[in-house]
Amino acid sequence: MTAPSAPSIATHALTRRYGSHEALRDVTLSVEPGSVYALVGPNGAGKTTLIQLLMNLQPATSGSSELLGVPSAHVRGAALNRIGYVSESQEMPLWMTVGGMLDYLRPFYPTWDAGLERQLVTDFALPLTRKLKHLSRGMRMKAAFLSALCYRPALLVLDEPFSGLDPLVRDELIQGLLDRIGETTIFLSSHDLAEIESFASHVGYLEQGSLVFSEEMTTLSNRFRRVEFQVDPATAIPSRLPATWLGVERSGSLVRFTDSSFHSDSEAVAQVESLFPSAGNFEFVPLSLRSIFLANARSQGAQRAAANSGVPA
Amino acid sequence: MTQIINILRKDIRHLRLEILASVAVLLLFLVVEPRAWAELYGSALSASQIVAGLVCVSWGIIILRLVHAERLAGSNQFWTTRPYEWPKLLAAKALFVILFVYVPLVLAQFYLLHHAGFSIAANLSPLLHNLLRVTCVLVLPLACIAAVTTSFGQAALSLLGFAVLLAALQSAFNYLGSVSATIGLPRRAPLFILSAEFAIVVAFLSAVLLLQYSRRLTMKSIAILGSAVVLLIATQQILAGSAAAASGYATGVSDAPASIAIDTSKRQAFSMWLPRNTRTAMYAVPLQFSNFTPGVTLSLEAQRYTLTTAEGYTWTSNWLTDYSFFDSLRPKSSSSLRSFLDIPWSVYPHVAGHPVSIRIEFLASQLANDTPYTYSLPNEAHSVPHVGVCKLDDAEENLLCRGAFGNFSLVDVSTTGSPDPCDGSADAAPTTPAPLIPETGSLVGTRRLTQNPMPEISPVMINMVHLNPPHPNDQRTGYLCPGTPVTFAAKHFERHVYIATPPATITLNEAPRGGRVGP
Repeated sequence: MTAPSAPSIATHALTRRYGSHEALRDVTLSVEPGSVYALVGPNGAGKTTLIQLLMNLQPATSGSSELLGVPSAHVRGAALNRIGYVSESQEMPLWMTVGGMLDYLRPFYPTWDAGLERQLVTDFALPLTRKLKHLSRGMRMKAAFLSALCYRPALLVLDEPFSGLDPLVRDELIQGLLDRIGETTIFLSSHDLAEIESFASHVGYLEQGSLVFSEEMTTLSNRFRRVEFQVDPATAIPSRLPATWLGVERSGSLVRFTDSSFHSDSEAVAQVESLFPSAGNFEFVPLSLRSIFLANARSQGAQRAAANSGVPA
Repeated sequence: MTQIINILRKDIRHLRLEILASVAVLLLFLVVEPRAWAELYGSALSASQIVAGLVCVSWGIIILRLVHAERLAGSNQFWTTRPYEWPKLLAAKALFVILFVYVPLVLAQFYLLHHAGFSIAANLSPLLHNLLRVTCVLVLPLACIAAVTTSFGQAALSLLGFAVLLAALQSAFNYLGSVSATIGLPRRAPLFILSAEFAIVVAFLSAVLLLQYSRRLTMKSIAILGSAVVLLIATQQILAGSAAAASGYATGVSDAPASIAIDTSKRQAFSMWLPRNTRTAMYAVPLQFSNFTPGVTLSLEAQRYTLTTAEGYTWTSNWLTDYSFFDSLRPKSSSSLRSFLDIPWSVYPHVAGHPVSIRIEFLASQLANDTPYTYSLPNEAHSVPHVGVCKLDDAEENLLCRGAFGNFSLVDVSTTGSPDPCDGSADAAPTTPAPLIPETGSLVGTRRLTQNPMPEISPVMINMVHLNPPHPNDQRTGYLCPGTPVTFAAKHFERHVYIATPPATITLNEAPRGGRVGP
């Protein structure tokens, strides 16, 4: 039996307030080494805030976080030799050429891999003599990726890295990331759920500053099912349903919902039948990450609306 | 060290155009400035001042752009997620400023000193002091503004806003002049206040830079900057006029080198003049000086007056430090001196129109005479100890003296002018003093005891020795002819002294607000 390795990222009750607004509330999560952790959530959920707190780009109001065992407040200087960071909103030294930027950055990193640099320059088809300000957005993101990959960081933090990029560039960047899987822990936030699903090993869902769930992708996929069944049209839907049933809908005799704690078909059938004795014709459909995301978002929205109106959801 | 050099090289590449522009403007200054030395007022002087301003602007742009190259405010900078070591980043920036601001300035000043005929070695101390002023007035403030802003435009707007704020505060303090009993003229703080202000600037601005480079806590840094401004204003506006201003002057020591008394024999003395500041009433009080210690000169630097009425009402002004009211006091020139009482209108009804006991306290510097230096005016430039290099101007009416770093002493100049133009030859100097202008004198060294906090771009200062007409109403001066003997008597600072007049009872005549009363 081997001792569990320290997490690449760990947060403990991390909170960030701007005046009375709580952008992040008691977020506790752990990212295992070698994993690809996707942080998802609607706009304004606090994804960028969480990443900026992790990267010491702004201070936390309370709580703590660590990257590669280093407290976020100390993530600066030499600690960044092992951490790569790319953000859609990050400024670049636009006056530099791509080659000039690489020449400038190379001496900062003892582990800079010139061979990998040459390979990525070729793979990404980056023009070394062109100034960054004259590059397209996609090419600039490639340059940013390149400059964050060449020193083989142990942890790569990416904030909305694929936002606004065309599919071709996205594929190239994702391929670049896929090549790093295993040697680098990747922590990324994104709206591009379809792409994330293809390579993320873990996923966390942020909603209004709170972490709703954080788990392995396979566990998540197994836990969520679209459940459909037929009932007698005269059967009424009970007023109290399990909290794990999201978005319960009825259309004639057809009832459907998203089960967020699915274990097995038989257990689900038993649970449904306890509430709907006449239920039959069961169907259990695995959900994509996008569908899980939407089901959660709608459920949270409905709960908020119900809370605001005083009517139970 | 590798990281420092790496960042430095990058900044040099990035700011090469700004560097080139700055060097070009500085070279232009080296051409223009020596031409201005031959005149006190003229196009060459104006051009020199404009180019000196451009030099400062070019350095300002370099400093702002340099700091913004690794912006400290905000959370989306490129460099903050790279393994920069903040002390090395700060060192790289400091090295850049040294290389492209301080070194060019020092080299330019070496050149100008040499060109003007001054010893570089003898002026190293004022040169270093000037660099301190460059640091306090130019480099640190601009670096701090850049450190808490995100762009050049924002920094420029911040500077503009800061200038507007200072102007507004100045106006507010002027409006409240009656509170502090000023007369609307700029007050200057005693030297130790200026030193305190330098210390505040250096301490607070250094703290801002260190905080921003180490932690990037912009809001806290802005708060520190704001505190520094408040403290500076408080120092200038409150401390300068408070009792603390006198703390360096050993009040209570009775071995003053002269006695000063209010001359109650001159009735016209207590008339109210048309106030320059309509928020206060101003009275001129003639003074009598006696018991001068031989060879001593007094330079009055501040005064405070206490008025007490028979009814027991007492009012004491702040310490007023307007040098413009005071001249140096020597035994033979003391008779015409007056003290100006600046009385707020809120106090005026209590003290006007009936006998008031007045006591005036003075803060002064005691100066001692150096050995006088006398020479006959040559046509060419001549080196004068404690003054610099003096030369007769083309109109033969003034002596233009070049000094290094404005480091003039207080100097009495005495000579004999001619009422007629000179014929141009040294032999033509008048053999007898002209009856119209028997003796003239002037002071060299307007900076004698007031320290100008502004840095000097040129190390060479020009001062004029001009002939005073013998009578105040006489517009005619005279000519200085080659061969005329001129004596320069320099003074040097000995100590600070405190002198108080005995209380004297006088009546301050009444006047309507803003009016003029008296002969």
